[in-house]
Amino acid sequence: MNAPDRFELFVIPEGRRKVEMEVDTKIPNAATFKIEREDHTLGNMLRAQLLKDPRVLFAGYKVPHPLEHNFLIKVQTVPGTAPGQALKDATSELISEINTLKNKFDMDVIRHRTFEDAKATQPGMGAFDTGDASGQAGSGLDPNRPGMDLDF
Amino acid sequence: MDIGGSYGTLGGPSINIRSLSKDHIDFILSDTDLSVANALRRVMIAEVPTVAIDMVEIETNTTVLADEFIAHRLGMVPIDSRDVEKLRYTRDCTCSQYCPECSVELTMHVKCTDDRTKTVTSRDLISSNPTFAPVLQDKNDAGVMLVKLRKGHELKLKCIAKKGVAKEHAKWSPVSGVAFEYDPHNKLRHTQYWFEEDESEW
Repeated sequence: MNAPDRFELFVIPEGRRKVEMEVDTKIPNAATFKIEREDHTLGNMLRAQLLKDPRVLFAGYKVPHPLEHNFLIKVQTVPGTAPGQALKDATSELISEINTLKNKFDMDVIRHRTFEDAKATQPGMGAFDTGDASGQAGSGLDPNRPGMDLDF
Repeated sequence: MDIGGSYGTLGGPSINIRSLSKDHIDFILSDTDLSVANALRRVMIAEVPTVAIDMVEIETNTTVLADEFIAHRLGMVPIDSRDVEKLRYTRDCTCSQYCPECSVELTMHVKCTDDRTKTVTSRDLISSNPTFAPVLQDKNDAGVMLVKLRKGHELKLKCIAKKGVAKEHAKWSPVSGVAFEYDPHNKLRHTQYWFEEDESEW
């Protein structure tokens, strides 16, 4: 009866923005960013990435209330760098890191599959470590292996 | 943009797959932060879009299970989501309610006419779009069991399957289990074990 809609976890309502910044008046070069409809998945990653930046003096995040779907991230930087700039750089670095990860994963899948195919075509078939996928002990070797449905 | 960035010359994270099959993967992720591994795990569980039945219109239900019970079970039936990128979210679609661009229609009509118990499974669901059909392991797979019928029981319904993420409902989760482990020998001392006198007991 009182339960909010589940899509409130990730759909931003009209009028609200994804990121809002509040400059901290008491501490120099510090700001708090409020990111809507995101959770620890993004918050922890951003915080960890900010801490790697030598220009960042302080970085911390919190989810103020589990029933409100947003998080606050507070950043303080050295004089000369704006906290917003540090956050932007951290975000860009994370995006490129994830892209690198994606590419390396795709390459490793191809490497793994060709490695498995090479092992399979050896005479006197050894054990597959993709075990249950093929299960073709008696039916001969089919290089396309119908059991696999990986199509990256 | 310097990809190596905080990692120096290592060139960012690296992956080493240990085993790979149709429904299971085991890999080692290195040269990255723990928060990235955890974020990867969280996204795999909750934010990878899939297709699942979301609306059920029941025309006839004389089975022993209630309408909503069967509808819930239908929602949990896994649907082949390899082409989910081609489907739009219903809330983003330009149509008024739902259309073939943002949903898939599945129908089912089963009636038990002989004395044996008839088992209704996900194989009985007929999809309007053959790319999005209930998952079957192989041609011998009977499918997910939905309801059992006695003589005279009938079940006729129409389902609309939509794209969604597990954040909205667990039926849209693509994984059955994700786990990661780091530092198996506790060298970082992130875990403190109990000891009687001295830490060297660990």
